[in-house]
Amino acid sequence: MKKQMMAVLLSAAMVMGVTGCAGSNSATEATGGIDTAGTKTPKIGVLMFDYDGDQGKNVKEYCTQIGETMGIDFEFVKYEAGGSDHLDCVDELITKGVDGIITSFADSGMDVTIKTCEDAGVYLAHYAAVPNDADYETLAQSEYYIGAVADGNADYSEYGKKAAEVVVDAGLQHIGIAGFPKDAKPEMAEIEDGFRSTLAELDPSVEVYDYHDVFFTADNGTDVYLAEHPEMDGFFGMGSGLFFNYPAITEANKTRDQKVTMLACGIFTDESTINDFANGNLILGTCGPVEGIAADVVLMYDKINGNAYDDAPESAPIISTSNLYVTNAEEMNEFLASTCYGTAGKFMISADEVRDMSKTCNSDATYAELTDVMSHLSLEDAAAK
Amino acid sequence: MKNSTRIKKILPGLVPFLGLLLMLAIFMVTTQGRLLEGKNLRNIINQVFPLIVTGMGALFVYGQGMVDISVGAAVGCCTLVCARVIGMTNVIPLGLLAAIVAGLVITWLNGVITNYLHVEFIMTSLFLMFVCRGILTLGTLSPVSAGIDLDRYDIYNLFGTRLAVIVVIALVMAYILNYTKTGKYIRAIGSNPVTGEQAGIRVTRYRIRGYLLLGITMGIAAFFILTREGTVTKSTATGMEMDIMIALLLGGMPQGGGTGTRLRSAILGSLTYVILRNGLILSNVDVNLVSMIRGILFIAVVAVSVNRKVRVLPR
Repeated sequence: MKKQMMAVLLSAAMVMGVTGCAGSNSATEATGGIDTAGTKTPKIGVLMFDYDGDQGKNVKEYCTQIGETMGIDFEFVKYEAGGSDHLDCVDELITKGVDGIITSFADSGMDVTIKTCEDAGVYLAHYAAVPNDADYETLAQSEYYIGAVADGNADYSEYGKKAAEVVVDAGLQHIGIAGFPKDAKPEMAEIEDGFRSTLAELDPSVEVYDYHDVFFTADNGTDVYLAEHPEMDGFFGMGSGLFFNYPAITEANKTRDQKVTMLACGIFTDESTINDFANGNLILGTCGPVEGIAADVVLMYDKINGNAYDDAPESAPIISTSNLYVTNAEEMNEFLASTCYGTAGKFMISADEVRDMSKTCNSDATYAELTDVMSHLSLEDAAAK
Repeated sequence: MKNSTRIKKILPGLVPFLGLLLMLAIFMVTTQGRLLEGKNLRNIINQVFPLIVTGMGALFVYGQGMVDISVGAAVGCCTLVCARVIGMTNVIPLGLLAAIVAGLVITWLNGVITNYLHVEFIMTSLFLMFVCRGILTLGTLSPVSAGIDLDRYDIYNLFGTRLAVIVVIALVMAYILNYTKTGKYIRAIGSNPVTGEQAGIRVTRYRIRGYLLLGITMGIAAFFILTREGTVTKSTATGMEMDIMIALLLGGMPQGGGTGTRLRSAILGSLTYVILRNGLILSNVDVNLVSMIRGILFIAVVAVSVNRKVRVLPR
């Protein structure tokens, strides 16, 4: 009995202690309302499934910087991987009084999500996620849908084309190819098409094996696929290849006569990945620039304030950004030195520049300039800055 | 009876109530009253609904001293069946019926394998969890929608509808648990199955009945998950089994089941669990701390439930 009472009291003390420190989750202490210049101080919710990884951490830091500069109050909420509680999170952000929500989840339930936002008068935008065609049709009909910013180029075949070029440059001849089931992730088909068609043009002699489905688990049969193809010398892992395929490849390379070189969509910044680029076991890693979220923020900020670019597209746009490619140790060093992934807080578009892209803050700002900035976020652009 | 003895007898049952009230009081302050605003009450009822409904069914399994870790995957499967049936027939009540039937089939299998084949209940539910999650993954390679106008679901998503469903199920389950042979025998089996058998209880029969009650509530929860979310994906109801386990323990459910099994465990525990998350988020607690706090709270509850004499968790 005493123990139970103690548990209740200790739990209460813990909750009080933590909530007493509350407020750290908000980027600013904005109070809402209209400032002296007649600009609304908006509250924007950001929904991602992870704020611990490179991307999530940087998104949080970047939004915080933008919020301090533009007077936006950001609220960060995390949904479960897979999005099982995404709608709950949307509801909670609405209760917190946000004016808009930027979410990285576009896999399902978009019709319900936009309906919920419409009912609450809250804007919705996607970052690092592009809804499928059917969902986009539904979303674009709503005046509360701002649009989507892709995690890199919205034309996913670009990843495949780049991988094909790297394969040819490396002189690889027998390539394994794997990714998530195409029914679940249609972009996989686009990447594969880009890969196969570019290879066919550049070097028709390169053999590409049948596509291997990765069912979202670490135990996905990559080892069996490798064993079935003893001549394989290259492996293109399109579905988070470094996570789902590379461990099996590393293990297999210990005993294989023909070593397998890895090309991956996605990238890590740990010591082991840096070493793998250095010793040539890994010859491609990719990611999208965090700065892409600035486009969502600017469009939403303007919308909340009732402004729009003179050259704004008629329907909610899907905006591409540059892809970040790393193909060797030198580029990996450049990647770590020039982007926020290696150097915390080093963003290619400063918070001041983000503010200047907003029509509300800069009457000369245009949509064409916004998309132009988004298309100059490559590794070369980062290095030049 | 002496006053102190009476208090000692009453207080353990009040602890979950006190915990919930204390939490409500704290969050009312830290959220500046937003916790109990109408809009947030709707959020809370939406989030707590599947947990509370399934939890009330799960009492009849946990009450036997058993644990079912297949609940999340099984509810996901029921939602898939529901969506497919509504998509094919365009008749919403048929979807509800189909979800309940799917729930009954899964839990019947669970009960039969455990009790007739004498497989450890944890192994059976582990096996069913993998099977159901596999079916769900294969069946939702692309998200499955019920394929009807979302407005037709609105009535099922009203605050009043959901509250009414919870009240009705609570009344039915309370009756079964307290006033029928099924409820009484299940609790007796949870306390001591051997004694129960020697007293003439057909243990296997009543154990399977307990599973079937869980199946019915799983089907109902699945239907309402679909009416809210509109689609089914491979992650539908992911982690629900753990949420239920934690909610029941938070609500004061004895880990070994038995005569201490009370309906309030499901209701209070689910509310505590959901309001804890909701309140922390509304209080602007860092997103990374929310899961950690829930975990610590769970450990705290488990720790105080450990039977120190035998140094193990109650069966």
